[in-house]
Amino acid sequence: MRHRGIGFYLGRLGLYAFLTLFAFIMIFPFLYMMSTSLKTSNDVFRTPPRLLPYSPIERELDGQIRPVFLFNLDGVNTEMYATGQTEQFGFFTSPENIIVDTPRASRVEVEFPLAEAVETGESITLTRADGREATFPIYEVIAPNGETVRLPLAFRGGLMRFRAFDNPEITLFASQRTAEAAEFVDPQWGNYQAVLNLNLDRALVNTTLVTVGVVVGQLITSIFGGYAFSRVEFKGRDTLFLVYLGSIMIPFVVLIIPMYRLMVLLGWQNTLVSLIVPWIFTAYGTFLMRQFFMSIPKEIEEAALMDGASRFRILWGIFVPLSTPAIATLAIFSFLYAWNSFLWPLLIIGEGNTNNHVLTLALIRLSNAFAESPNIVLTGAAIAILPPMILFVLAQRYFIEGVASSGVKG
Amino acid sequence: MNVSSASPRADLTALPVWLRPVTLAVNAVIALACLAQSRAILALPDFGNLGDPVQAFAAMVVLLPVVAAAYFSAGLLLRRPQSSLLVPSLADTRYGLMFFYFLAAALSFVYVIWRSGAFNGFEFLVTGFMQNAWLALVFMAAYVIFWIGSRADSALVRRTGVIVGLVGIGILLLSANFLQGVVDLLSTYRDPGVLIGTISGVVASFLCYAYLTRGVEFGETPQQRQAWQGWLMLSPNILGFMIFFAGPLLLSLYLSFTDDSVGREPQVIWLQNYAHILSFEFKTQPITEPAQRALSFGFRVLASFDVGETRLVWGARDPDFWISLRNTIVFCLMLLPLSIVPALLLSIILNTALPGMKVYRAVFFLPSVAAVVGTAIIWRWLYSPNIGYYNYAITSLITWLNTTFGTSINDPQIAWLTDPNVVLISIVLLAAWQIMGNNTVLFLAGLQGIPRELYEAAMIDGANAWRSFWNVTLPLLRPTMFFVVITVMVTGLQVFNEPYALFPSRPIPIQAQTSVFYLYQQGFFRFQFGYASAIAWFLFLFIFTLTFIQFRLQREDR
Repeated sequence: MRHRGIGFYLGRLGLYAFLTLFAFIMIFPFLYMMSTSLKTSNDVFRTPPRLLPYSPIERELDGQIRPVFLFNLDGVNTEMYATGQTEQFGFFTSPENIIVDTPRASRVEVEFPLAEAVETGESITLTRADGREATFPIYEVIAPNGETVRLPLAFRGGLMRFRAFDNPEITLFASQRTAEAAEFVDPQWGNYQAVLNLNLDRALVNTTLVTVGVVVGQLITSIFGGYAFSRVEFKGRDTLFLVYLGSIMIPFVVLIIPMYRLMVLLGWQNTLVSLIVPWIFTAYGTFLMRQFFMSIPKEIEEAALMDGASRFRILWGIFVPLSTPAIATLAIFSFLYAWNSFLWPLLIIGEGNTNNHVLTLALIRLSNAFAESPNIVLTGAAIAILPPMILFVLAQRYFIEGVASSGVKG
Repeated sequence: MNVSSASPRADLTALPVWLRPVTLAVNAVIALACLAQSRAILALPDFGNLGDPVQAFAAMVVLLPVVAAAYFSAGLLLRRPQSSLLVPSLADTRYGLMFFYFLAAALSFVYVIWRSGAFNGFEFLVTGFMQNAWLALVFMAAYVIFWIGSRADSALVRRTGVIVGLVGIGILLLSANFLQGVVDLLSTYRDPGVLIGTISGVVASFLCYAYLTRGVEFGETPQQRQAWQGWLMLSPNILGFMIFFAGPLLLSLYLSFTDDSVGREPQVIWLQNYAHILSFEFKTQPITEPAQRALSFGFRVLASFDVGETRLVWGARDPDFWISLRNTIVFCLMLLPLSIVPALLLSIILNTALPGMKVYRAVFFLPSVAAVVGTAIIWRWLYSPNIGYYNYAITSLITWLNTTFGTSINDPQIAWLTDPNVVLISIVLLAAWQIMGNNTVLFLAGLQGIPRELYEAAMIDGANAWRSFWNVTLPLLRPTMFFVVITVMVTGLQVFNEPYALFPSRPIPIQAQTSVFYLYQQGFFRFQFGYASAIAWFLFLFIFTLTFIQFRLQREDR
C-alpha cells in the first residue's frame, strides 16, 4: 500500500470544505425561507438577523404580563423587567475617545444621571470632518469604581429603569433598545395556517389539479405518440417526426400573443382549463418516449404480434411496464413544468381572479399585499416550493437521471 | 395523406347494402353544412377581432371538408381500381373516409364539450376538494396500498388500492356536485349547437367504425392497417399540435404584420412593425447641444458618444427595446461563466468516487426544482438593504477583515434591488444559483462517459492532474459543454420570471428589463399585440441565429 502523507488528507479536507461551502450557498436561501416562515412579525426585523425563530419570554407580576430582560449582575443572570420610568443620562468619556462626527458611536467610559452630574463650566472643542467645530462640556461625575472624575459629555439619552422580578430592591438603568430580552425558540407553525387561509389553500388545490391534469395528459399523448413514432411504420412518419421535433426549437415567446388571442376566442380566459389543455401535447415528451421505446428489442413485440395481440395491447401490456424509468422521468419533468409555470398563468388568469390563482400567482399577490411581512410572504413561498422538494427527495434518482439523459443525447 | 396503390382484391359484394347510400347522404349533408358555415363566417361582422385575412382563411378551411366529401363520394360512386387526381381507388376511398369521419367525430365531440361548458368543470372539482380536504388522505392511502401491493406482488392488494382511489374520485365528484353537473350538461341540449354536434359526432364515429372494421372487403394491405393504427395513435398529438402550436405560430406571424391592438380590427401594415424596431438615426452635433435635439421627430436617444468637440448621437424609434435586448445579452454573458465554471469544477470533484458525493449532488440540484417565482421572492428578502442576509454577511466580513488585518475597506452597503448599476447583477446571481445544479448534473453525466483508461494512459505518459484535465477532460467534454452552453443561452435569452418577481416596485428598473419582459409590457400593458408579435419574431430569429452559429462552430471543431 502506498503511504499517504498529510498532504493527501489536507487535499481531501479541502475538497470537502469546497463542496460544503457550495452546498451551503445552495441550501441557505431555503433555510432562510423556512426559518423566516416560522418567525413572528417582530422577530423578522431584528438586526443582526438570526436563523432560529424566537419569541420573548414573559412573566406575570402583580397581574401584569411583562417581557423578561436578562442582566448579568456580578456573574448572575437576573431576570428583570422594564419599569417604564426613564431618566436622562449623560454619557461621558475621555477626549481621545470621542468620535467627533458621530458622538453616539464613541466608546463610553462613564454613564451617569445628568441631574446628579456637576457642571464644571469648562469644555473642550474638537473639529469635525466638515471643518465645523463641536463643543463638549466637561462634568464632574462618579465613575463605577467610586472615584470622582472630570470628563467631557459625549452625548445624552434616556435610560430605562429595570427591576428584578424576584427582588424589587435590585434596580438598574439601561437602554431598553440594547437590553437583552430573554427569548426562547418558538416556531410559529400557525403562520402556515394563516397563510393558507389567505386563499392560498385554493391556489394549492388549483395547482395540484392543474399539475395532475397536465402530467396525466402528457403521459397519455407522449406514450401513444412515442410508440407510433418508434414502432408503427407508415409513410411520412419520419418527416412528421422531424417537423414535430423542430417545434421544440420554437421558443414560447413567439406563441404568447396568439395563444392568448386563441384563449380569448375560445372563452377560456380566467379558467383552469386554459392552464391544462394546451399543455398536454408535448413534443419533448413524445421525443423522450420514442427514444426509450427504440431501445426495447423488436423481438418481444414481434412475438406478441404473431400471437395476434393488438397494438394497443402490446403498448399497454409490454411497452408501458418496461418503460417505468422513462415514464417516471417524463412525469417528473412535466410535474415541475406545470407546478412552477408562471408566465402563462400570469397572462391568462392575471392578478385579478384570485379564485383561479395557481401558487406562483398567489405568491406574487401575497408578496405585493404583505410587502412588510417577510414571514407571511416566505411562508407562502415555502408552501409553493416544498411539494416539489419533497418529491425530489423521494424520487431523486429520476430527477438526476432525467436531466443527465437529456444532456447525453443533446 | 400517403396511401399505397389500391389492392385489386377488393370484394364489395360482402358490404352491407346501406353503407354506400348512407355514406353518400352523410357526405352531402356535411358538404352542405360546411358551405353554409363558410358563408356564415364570411358574413360575420368581425371574427374575434382578428381581421379580414383570418376570416377569409377560416372560411377557406371550412371549405376543405366539402372538397374531401366530394372526392370520396366520387370514389365510392365510380369504383376505380386505381387512384387518379380526381377520383380515388376504392381502397383509398375507404382509407380516406376513415380519416375523414374520425376527424369529424373528434372535432364534433370536442366542440360539444366546449360548447356545453364542461371544460369549466375543473373549478367545481376544486371547490369539491376544498370542502373535503380529507380526501387527500384517501388518495394517499390508495397510493400506499397500491405501492404495498406492487412490492408484495399481490394483485389483490393492488386492486384494493385502485378501488380505494376510485371511491375517492367518486366522493370527490359527488361533492363537486357531479350529478347536478350532469343535469346541467343535459340541459345544455336545449342549445341546438350541442345537439347538432352530438348527432354529427355519433354519426361520424359510427361510419368511421363501419369502414374501420371492413378492411377485408376493401382489400386492406397490412401496411395500410399499420398506417392507420399509427395515425390513430398520433392523432391527439397532431390535433393538439395543429390547434395549440401550428395555428398560433401562423397567427403570430400574421399578427406581426398588422397593427393589432385591443378593441379594433387589425389592419395589415406589412413590415412596418419590424421597420419601427429597426429604425435608427445617426447624427452629429456640437457637444454643447443636448443629444435629443439632433434627432428627428419620433426618435429618442439610444446612446451618445463625445468625440472631441462633436457629439455622435445614436437614436432609435424604440430605444427601450434595444436597451432591453442589451440587458438580456449582458445577462447571458454574465450568466454563462457564472453558472458553468463552478458547475464544471463541482462536477469534476463529484466524479471522484469519494463517499458522500451523491448527497452533495442532490443538494446542488435542489434549487433547480423550485419555482423561480418562489426563489426570486426569497432572494428579494435576502437582498433587502436593512434586514437582508447578503449585506449582513458582507458587512460582517468587512468588519472582520478590518479588525483582523487593520485594513480600512469601506462597507459598500449595496442596494441590490434599486441601484441601477447592480440590479442586473442581482438577477444574474439568482439565475446562476438556480441553474448551476442542473449544469453540474449535466457535466457529471458527460464526465461519466469518459473512459477511465484515458486518464490512466495520460498518467502513464506523465501528465499531472492539470494537464490531464486540459488534454483529456475538456476535449472529451466538448459535446456536453456545447449542450450546456446552448441550454443556458436559450433559457437566458428568454428570462422573464426573475425580473418580474425580484423587483417589488412597478415599473421595474429599466436596467433590469429583459427582452421578454419588454414584450410582455408591450403586449399586455399597452396592448400592442401586433408590435409585440413582431418583437417576438425578432427575438426568435435572434435566438435561432445564435444557436445556428453555435452549431456551425461545433461542426467545424470536429
